[in-house]
Amino acid sequence: MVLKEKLVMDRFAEVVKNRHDYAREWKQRTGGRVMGYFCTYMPEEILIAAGMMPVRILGSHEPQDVTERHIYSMFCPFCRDCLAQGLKGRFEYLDGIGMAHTCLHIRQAYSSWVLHVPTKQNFSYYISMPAKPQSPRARPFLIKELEAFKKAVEEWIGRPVTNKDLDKGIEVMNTNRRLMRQIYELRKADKPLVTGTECMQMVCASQCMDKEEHNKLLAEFIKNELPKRTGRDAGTRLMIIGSEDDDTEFLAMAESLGATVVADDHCTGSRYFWNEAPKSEDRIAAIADRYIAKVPCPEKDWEERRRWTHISKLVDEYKVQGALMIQQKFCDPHEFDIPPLMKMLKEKKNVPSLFLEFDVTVPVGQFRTRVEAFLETMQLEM
Amino acid sequence: MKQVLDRRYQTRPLQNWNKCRELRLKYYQDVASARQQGKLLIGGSAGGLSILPSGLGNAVWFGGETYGATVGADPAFSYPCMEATEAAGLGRDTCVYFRNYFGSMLLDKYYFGGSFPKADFYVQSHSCDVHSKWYQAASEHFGVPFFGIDMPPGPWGEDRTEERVNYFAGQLLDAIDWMEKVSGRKYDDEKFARAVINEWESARLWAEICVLNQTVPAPLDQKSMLVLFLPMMVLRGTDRSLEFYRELKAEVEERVRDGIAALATERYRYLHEGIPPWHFLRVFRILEEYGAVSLGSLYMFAMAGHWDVGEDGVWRPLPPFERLGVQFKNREDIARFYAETYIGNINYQGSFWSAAVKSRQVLQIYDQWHAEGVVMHLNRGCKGTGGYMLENRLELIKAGIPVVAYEGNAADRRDFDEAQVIDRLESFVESQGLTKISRE
Repeated sequence: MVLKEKLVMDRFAEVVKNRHDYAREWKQRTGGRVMGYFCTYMPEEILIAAGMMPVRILGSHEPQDVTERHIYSMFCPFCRDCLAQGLKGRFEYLDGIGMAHTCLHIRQAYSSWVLHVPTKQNFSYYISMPAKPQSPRARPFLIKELEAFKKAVEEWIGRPVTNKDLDKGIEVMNTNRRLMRQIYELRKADKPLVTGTECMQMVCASQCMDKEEHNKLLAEFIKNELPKRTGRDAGTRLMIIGSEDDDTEFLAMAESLGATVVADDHCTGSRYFWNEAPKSEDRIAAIADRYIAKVPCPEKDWEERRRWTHISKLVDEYKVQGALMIQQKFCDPHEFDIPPLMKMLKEKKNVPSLFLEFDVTVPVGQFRTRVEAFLETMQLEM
Repeated sequence: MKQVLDRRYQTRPLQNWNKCRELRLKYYQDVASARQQGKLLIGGSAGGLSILPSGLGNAVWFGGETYGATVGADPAFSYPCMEATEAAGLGRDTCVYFRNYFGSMLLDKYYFGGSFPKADFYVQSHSCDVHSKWYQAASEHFGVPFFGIDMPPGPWGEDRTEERVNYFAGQLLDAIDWMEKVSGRKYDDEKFARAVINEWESARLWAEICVLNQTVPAPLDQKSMLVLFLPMMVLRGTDRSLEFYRELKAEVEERVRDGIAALATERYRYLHEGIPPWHFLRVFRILEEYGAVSLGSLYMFAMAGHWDVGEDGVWRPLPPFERLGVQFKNREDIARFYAETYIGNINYQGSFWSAAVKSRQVLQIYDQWHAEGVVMHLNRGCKGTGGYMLENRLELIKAGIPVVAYEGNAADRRDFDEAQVIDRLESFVESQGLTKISRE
């Protein structure tokens, strides 16, 4: 894959588009293992410490007919799209597959993957990530879960994962998080220096490429390319909120209508990288602390609604004027959160929302009309 | 061609049927009148953690799923409820019990008359994505407190971890402290222990009753069992529930001894997997016309029963509590025992954990209950119990077991195509060599 001549954001888009070629080349070049994972609670720190490249299983946004016999169609299109990638052999290079507990939907995909999609080294692992990180009992439990996971990884690779290795894993991940936050900061400006589409490409690329290489590209962007940018007229400042969403085509369409997506709360966006693992002598505890304190997926946001606090802060800091509520069809946790969230944004922040239900493919023409109408309504109100 | 009626077995009505119905009605009246009676009304999932507040004394548990099912069984009441939920912006495709319950709450109409009962607080375990989100929403609607208890997924048996049990048990203890604060009542550990033991015994008795249904002819049919397991869902851990299951077990034993069948014309035995369409329980009657009797299901056996699955894979009811040699010294002991029982429930090891485990479970009960086919309800109303069903179907097919799946919804009649379902099921039993039995 020839990337060098391209600008960094284009390189990210290229990697996302050709993620499987990238992973195969990485394996060939490094001789390392590639571990696939579902959802963003997988402690990538431990995998990087073990010398692996973690890659997130994402869908392809292509209609498919291979999952119908495995997962009933009332489960979310994203989990079915993910499984389809495995059943079609697109992740045939994976050495192992794993998941840290999030929702029932994605667990269907994981469970069927383990049954029907062989990995090169036949390694699979499920971490019982607590669904109630708000409980003081969650931290000690997660520490034990992560210790067991580390042990399983050590047995798999045939060597111990040392504190030095873990330090490296934590440092690589934290650097990645810090740099991506630095770039997100650029969206606060009246004339944002990066678009929402670019940011989504950047985060998706982080989830499917070597993190150290991603870090180098981020640093290169900040050092060499950022100073040459002049920013764009933001138009209406939007935020996208909701389920997993890596639909860059939709985002580019929305940003072509006189709006800029300046902030987000979803798992191929800020929720993936917002907080860092703290420094601690006990590295596993530090990693556990990071995932306990992570901006929660709605499945894990109870009794208190801590996600609301995060979203409100983003709305203020990024001067958000409107929100696009994106929900993967059948996604229960988001279905429960969206109505009260829309109400809260309107009543407390005077931010109107547009609800859009996503499937594997989206009707871009219809959505374009709806987003246009939403923006026009907002402009009338403003 | 119709077959001439062949009453090969004797049958008779269940003596405990009316008692069960009375218990059910009394329970729903108690929910409605808890306030007037000076009792606490505590909300959460049916079955679930309903025994946890026992230590507070003088409390009634309002179980959400059973209420949602009751509402869903009556489309005239159910449709406005679900529409109210949908009008509030909540998903048309989320948990159907929630949609019926929540709409009834929004409309402030209780199915058994009067206003929707407002709980004093909610306590809920979280094993499916909806559980805690449901009661978070309900608590916000009424402005009452809510405590959620995470039930972490993972393997049971040899592969289970102590940390998982500790995590869950610890949260039970936290919930008790929390309930003392919000209720202002002192928690009585002896009452808690009694409820835990009652629950153990009732669930064990239910398992024994299910085992009796391995007999040919089956003394019970699933349509009846779906009503008979209700006390386990709404009165779990109570003396009333325990007494009922003792009497029911004695009656079913008597039926087995006397060769009494649920279906006089039994000639084909099948499992009906998945929660049934409560608004169309006639699904069972349609197949009975062919002499096919439904023996039960993983859902029904496991949800309410305590089982021991040995290395040979055989399902056996767990022994009586007194034979376990367990002595409770303090609250921590009780909570830990209950945590093990709760997490160890066989239902959570299948539907809520692993496709492979659930397939083994279905194959096992198919063999043990001497079934000849499996009917699967692909229930759009429940993603928890509906998990992995298509993987289970593949495994059944691989094992050469006749299986048919039909789409529907346990408590949303709008998702149910009656004519197609009947056609499908009749075609299935006819493919099994059965013909409709003449009533003449």
